[in-house]
Amino acid sequence: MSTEKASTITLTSNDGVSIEVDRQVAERSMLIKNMMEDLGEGATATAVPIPNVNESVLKKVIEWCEHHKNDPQPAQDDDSDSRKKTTDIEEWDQKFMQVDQEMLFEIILASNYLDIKPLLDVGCKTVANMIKGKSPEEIRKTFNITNDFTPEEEEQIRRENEWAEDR
Amino acid sequence: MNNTLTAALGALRHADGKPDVLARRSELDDLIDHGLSSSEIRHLRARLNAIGMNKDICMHLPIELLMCVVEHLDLEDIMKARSVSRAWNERFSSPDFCLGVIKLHFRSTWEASYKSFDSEAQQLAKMSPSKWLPRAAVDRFRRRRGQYRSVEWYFSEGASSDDPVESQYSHGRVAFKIDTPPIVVLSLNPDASPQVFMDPDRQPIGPWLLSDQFLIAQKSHPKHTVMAWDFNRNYMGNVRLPSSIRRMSAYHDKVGLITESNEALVWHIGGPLKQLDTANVQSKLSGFPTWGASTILFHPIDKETSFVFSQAWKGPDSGDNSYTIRLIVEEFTKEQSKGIYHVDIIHTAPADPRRPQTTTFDPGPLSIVVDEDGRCSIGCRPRHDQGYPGPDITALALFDMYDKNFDTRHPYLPDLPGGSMRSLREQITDMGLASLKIQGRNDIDEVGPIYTVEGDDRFIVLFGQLGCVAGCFEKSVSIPGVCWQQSLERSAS
Repeated sequence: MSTEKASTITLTSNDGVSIEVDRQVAERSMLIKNMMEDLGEGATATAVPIPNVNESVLKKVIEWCEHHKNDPQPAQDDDSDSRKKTTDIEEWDQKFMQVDQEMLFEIILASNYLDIKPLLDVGCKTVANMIKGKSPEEIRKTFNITNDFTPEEEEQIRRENEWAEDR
Repeated sequence: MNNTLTAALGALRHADGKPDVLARRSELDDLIDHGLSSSEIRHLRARLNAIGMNKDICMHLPIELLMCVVEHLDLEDIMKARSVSRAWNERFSSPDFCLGVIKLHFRSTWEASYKSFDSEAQQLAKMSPSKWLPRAAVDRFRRRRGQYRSVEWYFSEGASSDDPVESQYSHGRVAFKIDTPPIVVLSLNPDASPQVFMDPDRQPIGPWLLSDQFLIAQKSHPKHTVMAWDFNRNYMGNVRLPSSIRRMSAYHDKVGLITESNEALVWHIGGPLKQLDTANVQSKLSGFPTWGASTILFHPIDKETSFVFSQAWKGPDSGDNSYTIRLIVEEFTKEQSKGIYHVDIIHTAPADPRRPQTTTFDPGPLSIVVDEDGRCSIGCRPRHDQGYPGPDITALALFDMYDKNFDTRHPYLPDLPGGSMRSLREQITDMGLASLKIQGRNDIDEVGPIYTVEGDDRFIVLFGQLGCVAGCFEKSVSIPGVCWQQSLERSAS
C-alpha cells in the first residue's frame, strides 16, 4: 500500500487538528512541495505541522487548492506580470472570497506563508477591489473604519486632493 | 419610533425575559429570505464582512503584502486612500510605502534616484519619497485629465493646409521649418526669444530633429553631413556620413543614425562617428529573406547603453498563408554588443481560395515611441498589396529597456488621426484627443486639423496644419502670444 500512502499527506493546523489531503492538492503550496522534495518519500508518513495557520483557515486554503489542483504551476519568475494592474477574478474565486475580513486577512497571510502565489494574488485582488474606484466614505463603510479626522485636517486633505474632483 | 425592526427582535423573549434565540434566528432568516432586496443583502454582507476584525486589513498586513494589494490599484486609488482615516493617512504616507509606489508607478525616478540609496541617504538628499510622491502624483493626474492652466497660440502663417508644417516639440521647446532654411526654435517660456538656425554654408537642410539639448540636422550638399547646435546657437560641429540617413534619434549628447544601407551609427556630438557592429543579427535571420534596421534608442538613465531596433519579415507562407514579422533588438554597451533579443509576430489569413494572394509584403520601418519608464511601443504600417490579413497600422509589441524583454500581450498603439506616433508619450495617449480639454479655450480648431500631439511633464503641444497650440501645467507660467512670423522679425532686429 505504499503508493496509496504517497498520494496523501497529513497536515496539522496550529490548533492541533490533522487534515488528510491529496499530495497533488497540498503541493499547490510551494512550501510543502519543496519540503516533500527535500525530505523524499519518507516524509509522507508523518504529519506536516503548519504552525501559522488554524484549522478553519487551513480548510479554506485546502478547498481552494482542491479546486485549482489541475491549474498549471505558475512560472517561477513571474515578476514581469507585476506591473499589470488587472483586478479580474474568476467567478469561482470571487465566490470563494466572499468571507469576512478576518478570514480574508488570514487567507492572505496563510497563502503567503505556504507560498501559494495564485491564491495570494486572488486575496490581494479582493482587497484591492474593496478600494478601487471607491470614495473615502465608501471605503470606510467597507472596512468598518471611523473617520477620525478633525474638520481642519479634513479640509487640509481635501485641498491636497483637489485633483480628485473633476473641474 | 426609534427602530421598529430592532424593537420587534427585542420583543422576542422567553417567559423569563431572556432573549428567545431560536425565534430571533428564524425571524432573521425570514427577513433575509423574503424581507430584503438583493441590494440590501449586498449592503448587509459588506457591513457584516467589516465587523469580523477590530481593525482593518490594510492596517494589519505587513508592508510587503500591502504592496501586493497596492500593485492592483491605480495611482489615484492609492493617493485617495490617504483621506480615509488618520491611521490610513499615516500608513499610506510612510516612506517605505511611498518608495514602493514610486517603484511601481515612477520607475525612471526609482531607478535614477532611489534604487541605489538606503532610506537614510534619501532623507539626507532631501528626496524624501513621502514628499516627492504626492507632488509627482498630482502632476500626473492633471496631465491625465487634461487640466492645463495656461495656453497660448503659435500660428505658422503662410502654411497651406495641403502641406503640413514640419514641426516638433521637445523638452519645453517647439521648432518649425517651413522653407529651407531656416529652422525656428521657440522656447515655451515667457522670457525666451525665438532662435533661428541655418546651415553655415546656407545649404538646404534636410531631415532634422529637435532633441532635449540640441537641434540636429542633415544636409546632403556638398556631402552627406549631420550637424548640431545647442540652444545658445553655438554650432557644435558636424560629421560626414557615409550615405544618406533613413532615421535619426537623439538623447542627451548622442545621436543615433540608421543609413539607407542599414548601417547603425552613433555620433557623440563633437566627437567622431562610430559604427555599431550589427553582425550578430545574422544569427536571428535564418528563414527570413529580408531584414531592415529601424532606429537606435538610448537607455533613459544608463548613458552607455543603446539599442538597435530592426525587423525581419517573411510571407505569405504557402502552407498556412501566414506573415511573420520578427522584431530584433540588439543591446550595446559603448560600441560592444551585449545581448540580442527577438520576438515573432504572426498574422495568418483565413484559408479562402477566392482571397487574392498577397505577393508583396513589407512591414516598413518600425515606429517606436518610448515612455519615461523606458518602455518602447513598437508599431508599423505594413506595405502590401491585396490579401494581407493584418490591420493597416498595427501595434506589435512593447519592449522594456530595463527588463530587456518583449510583451506582445499588451501592445498599444496611439490612436490618432493620421496615425502619427512620433515621440508621443504615455500620458497623452491615456487621454486621447477626443477628451482633450484645455481650460479656457474652446477654439482649438483654428490651428486646423490636428495631426500630432506631443508633450511631457510640463507641456502638451497640439500641432495642427496651420499652427500649434501649447498648454502647460504650472499656474505661474504664462506664455506670450507670438505668432511665428512675428518671432522671425523680432529675432532679426
